[in-house]
Formats: sequence, structure tokens, C-alpha cells
Amino acid sequence: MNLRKAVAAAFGATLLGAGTGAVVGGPAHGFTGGVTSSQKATGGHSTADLDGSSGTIDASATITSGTGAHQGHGRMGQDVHNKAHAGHANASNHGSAKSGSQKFIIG
Amino acid sequence: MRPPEPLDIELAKESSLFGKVIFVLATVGSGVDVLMRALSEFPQLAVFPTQTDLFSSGMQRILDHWVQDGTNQGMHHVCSDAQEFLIAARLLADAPLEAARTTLGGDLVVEYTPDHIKMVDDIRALYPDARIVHVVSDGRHVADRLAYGRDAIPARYAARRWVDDQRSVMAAAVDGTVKLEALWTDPVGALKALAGGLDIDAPGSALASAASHFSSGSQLLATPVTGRAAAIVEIVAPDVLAHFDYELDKSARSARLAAWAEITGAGTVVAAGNARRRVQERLAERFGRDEWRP
Repeated sequence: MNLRKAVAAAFGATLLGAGTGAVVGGPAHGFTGGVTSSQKATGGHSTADLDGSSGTIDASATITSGTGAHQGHGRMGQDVHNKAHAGHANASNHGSAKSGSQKFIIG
Repeated sequence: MRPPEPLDIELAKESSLFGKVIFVLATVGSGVDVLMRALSEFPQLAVFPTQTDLFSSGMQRILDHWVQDGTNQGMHHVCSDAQEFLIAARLLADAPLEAARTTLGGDLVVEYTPDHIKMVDDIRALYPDARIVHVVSDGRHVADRLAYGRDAIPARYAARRWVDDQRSVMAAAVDGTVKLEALWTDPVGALKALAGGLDIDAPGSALASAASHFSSGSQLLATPVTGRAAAIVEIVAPDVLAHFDYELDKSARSARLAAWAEITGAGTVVAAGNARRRVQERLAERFGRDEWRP
């Protein structure tokens, strides 16, 4: 990714955050909580899924999760970037964070 | 605020579902429902045919009630040990999963709820033994799907939802990632790899049946990226697309211009509205006129 794209991404993300960030408490990082706004804006409608089933968003629940999950909880996660590719489908073993299990990547 | 430490792995062994739950994480509209139907072909798996909202509407709130900042409320006042609280909550969460396992048959429970993708920490707090699989699909297609149809949401929200979800899961401890495109391209190979990653039995007949759910893959993969929502994803999250090895610059120039117009317009309007409210607040405070407040 070149510098121009990175700058455009940062600028675009700022604008997008401003235009969709009507969440109380605001995001602690990234765009956390954006879903809440969208669901409120559309009156809590379900969102159509690929095959016709739907995922319903409870607006109040989403507010709680959107802010609560990012206020001083201290993430347990760790990002594991290791990948190995072998055609379209492969599984490769890499260290995972919590349980000592293996991380696989398919695709 | 939830307890500072996750459930101790030794305590988790009290659960009848220890090591027997698989949580699937994906943004709504990714097409993960096809994968869930495919997984239901494996006799070892009890795949929930519907979302449970187990964490998004239930356990997340219970965990969050452990400590209430700035108040004397919270479960920690009546439950001295966080681990006791966590194992009790775990057994509570097990109940619907265990019921489903009994009804559906199978040994391992597989669950997918759209909102769970942002709750990996909560899931890990109660299920340190669970396997968590992230399923990702090209965010441009996902955002476009969310921005069209009967329950469409504005393009900028559709784009933001996918970006938020992926950034959230990229920072979380998941056990594996599956690209749906791999399943559409080579369903047998990808399902076999997934079964291997999850350490589940994949007999040939089940594998063939599961793969048959992905028969329309070529049509989906050939769908061009055309929408404004897709262009917004490309503009604001090229790093996320690149992280999952998606090719960049697939949106048309016209779509990118429309995307910039939408995010610039919306951002400006909202920022101006916020500025107006702040000015109103200050003027009302300065001159003591409450009726001027927004």
C-alpha cells in the first residue's frame, strides 16, 4: 500500500468516523460502534443476509456492547500475522493467544 | 466491567461442554449461513440453525455487570471470587448450547451470531476452551449487499460495519480464519482443511454433501464490485483488505467519486451539527439562557 493510499485512507476514515459516529462515548479505536448508528438510523431493521436469513440488531444492546467492549477492558487478544499458503485451501499451524491451540488460515 | 481474568481453564472443565463449542464469527451478509448449513452435514457437529444472541443479548451484559464503574453496584459485591462468578456464568451460558446439542445430536456445538464478532474477549472470558473461527468474505461485496435490498442501510454504515468487524477480530485471539472465497473456489479442499483445523471427523460422504452447498460459487465469485459501499471500503480500509489478501483497486472511478461524496458530505454535515450544538451550549451557559440549549 503506497503513501497516497494510506493518506487517503486516514482522511477517508476520519470523514467516515465523523459521518457515522453518533455513538455515545465514541470509539476508543478504529470505528468501533458504527453499527449502532446505522441500526438506529434505519429504525432497528434487520439486515438481509446472503441467503435470506437475517441478523437482527438490538439497538440498546449494541450500544452497550459497542462502548463497553472498548472502555478499559484490556484486550486479551493478540494479532497473529503468520500465514502459509498452498493453493486455495490449506491449514497451517501457528501459535494462538489464550489456549495454546494452533491457528489455521484457509484461503 | 467484566472480571479482569478469563475463566480458569481448570475450572472450565466443570462444564459438560468443555472443549466442545465452536463459535463462528463473521459480519452479517458475508454468506456464512451457507457454511453453517454445510457444517451441519458433519455428523459430529450440532450446528445451530439460528443465531443465539448468547453473548450479544445475554452474557455480555452479565459479564459487564461484574463491576459498575463509579457506583456501588456490581456482582463483585455479592460474589467474592471472580472465578466463582465466571464458572457460574459459564454454566448458565452452557444451558442453551447443551439443550441444542441434545436436540440436534452430535458432539460439538457450532454457533454463529452476527454481533459476536466484536465480542471475542467476552467469549474467551467464559469459553477459554472454545474454538473460535473467523470467517471473512471480501468486504466490498459484503458492504454492497448490506447497502442494497429490502433492509438496506446507507452505504457508509454498511462499509463501516465490515471494517469495524474485521478490525475488531484482527486484534482478537481467534483460532483460525477461513476465507469464504476459498470455500466457493474449492469447497472440498477448504472444508477438509477446516475440519483438520478444528480437529473434527470429515468422512467422504459428509464432505461431499457439505461441499454441495457451495455449488453456485462461480457465479458469486464473478460478481463485479460496483457499489458505493464497496468503494468506501476500498478507500478507508485498504490495509484490512490487504491483510486478508484481497486485491485492491477493484472499484470503478465513478463509484469511488460517489463514495468520497458520501463520506465527505455526511462527515461535514455531522461535524457542522456538532459544532452548532457546542456553540449553542456555550452561549446558553454564557448568558444563562437554558432555552437556547439544543
